[in-house]
Amino acid sequence: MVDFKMTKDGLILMVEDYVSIEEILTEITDKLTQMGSFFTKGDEVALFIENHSKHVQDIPKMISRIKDFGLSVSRILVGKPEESGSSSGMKVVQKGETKSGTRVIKRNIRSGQVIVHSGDVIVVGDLHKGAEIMAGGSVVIFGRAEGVIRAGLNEGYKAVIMAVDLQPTLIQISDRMTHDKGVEKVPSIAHVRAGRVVIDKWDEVDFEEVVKA
Amino acid sequence: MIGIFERGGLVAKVLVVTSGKGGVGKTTITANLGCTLAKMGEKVALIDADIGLKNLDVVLGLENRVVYTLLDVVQGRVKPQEALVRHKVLRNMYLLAASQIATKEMVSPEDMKALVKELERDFDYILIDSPAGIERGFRNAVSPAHMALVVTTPELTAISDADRVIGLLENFGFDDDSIKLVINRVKPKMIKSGDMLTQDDIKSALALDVLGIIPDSEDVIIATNKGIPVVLDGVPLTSTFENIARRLQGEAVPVEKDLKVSENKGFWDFFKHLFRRRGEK
Repeated sequence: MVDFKMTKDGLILMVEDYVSIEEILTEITDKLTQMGSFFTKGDEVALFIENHSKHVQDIPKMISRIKDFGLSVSRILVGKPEESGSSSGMKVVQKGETKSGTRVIKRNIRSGQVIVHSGDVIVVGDLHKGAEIMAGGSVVIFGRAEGVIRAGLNEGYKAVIMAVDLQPTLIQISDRMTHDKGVEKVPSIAHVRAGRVVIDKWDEVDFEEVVKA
Repeated sequence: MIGIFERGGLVAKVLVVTSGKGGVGKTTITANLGCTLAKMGEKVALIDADIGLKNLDVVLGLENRVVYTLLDVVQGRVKPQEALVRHKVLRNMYLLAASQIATKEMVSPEDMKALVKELERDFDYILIDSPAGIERGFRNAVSPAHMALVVTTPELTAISDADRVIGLLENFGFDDDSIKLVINRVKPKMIKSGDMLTQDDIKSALALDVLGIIPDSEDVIIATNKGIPVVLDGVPLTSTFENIARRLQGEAVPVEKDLKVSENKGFWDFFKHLFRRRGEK
């Protein structure tokens, strides 16, 4: 089931636990077509996903479907929505989130573990093969990164991915992906240049260009 | 029967031997570690949690002595103590066998916790042999344990599965101190020639302490088929398991010692083969 919920923080698209992603995508399309006149291009909605850990791989699909309607996803919300009468009752802030919206994880992320966060993510440890990070903003890993890293799911092409040893199986920034890896054991930065994800060594990257992108 | 187990207020160390991937040696390690601890004078119970695909009784040579199984205990037909089978040689080691006709879904993690709780005052060590996989059977085996031995071989597939299992163990509340790595089927010759991952490679890939390194040995296959655990068969691997058991008891035995066995083994093998050949003639 897909439904909109109005809160003081804006509109939230609530996606209940589901079995088929295809059905959900159709429902999102129907809902947005129905409400077509309500939105203007560039409006922001938040996306709440019930039981998100089961559906992480579908999140980019939902976001891109919402983007097809000219809307952008401001935040990805997870956890349990608070049931209360007032519109401000809706509080879906993830555990460990700081005021700045950055989540800091001080451990190794192992195969099968998924980190979903709407802001930036900092990992002090390794990202093992088979593990995954999905961040609304940028991802910085102080360690070896071998899993899947998805960044910029809210922020778009401005997001960057950095790691001391950048050897991921897949990098995604917003809707752009690459299987490229950094030079072994050389700190590297992945960012979007001219619509493509490129990986630069730390001492060769043009930070001004990265920031402007 | 309960009387003979009385040990005052002490509670057993409960260990689960698990791996994710199948065929890496969980059952063999459970059996041999159990035998080694029992030889050192500890009172040991082995629990086969691989319901429907049991093996531990075969490896221990106790197949024909099993009367009641884990399922009989869980379903309340007998007390855990009554279902235990005493080992033929090591009189302070017992086995709780799995049922071959049942399925893993017929037992719950709560059942396992209750069962172990009833046994924990009677033993020094309780070793649980976990099935392969990460489903119900795995959860059953893991839930009553205080410590997990994750078995892996020096292959990328086994390491990747071990990593997944370690992640799941962390979700169950285990931490770096209660998860230990056992590397099985190591071939020192292949490591020397650079064709096999070293213990350091594995240690850095999984970021965990290594409890033991077990060299690959044909003796294990021979012993398993005889139904006599390797450590009771008088082969060189015995000292490796003794090192692991001592580390479990809290002694600081360097891991490097484990592979010393197999370095000498070439020499030992040479003689063994020499005699065997003469005998055949």
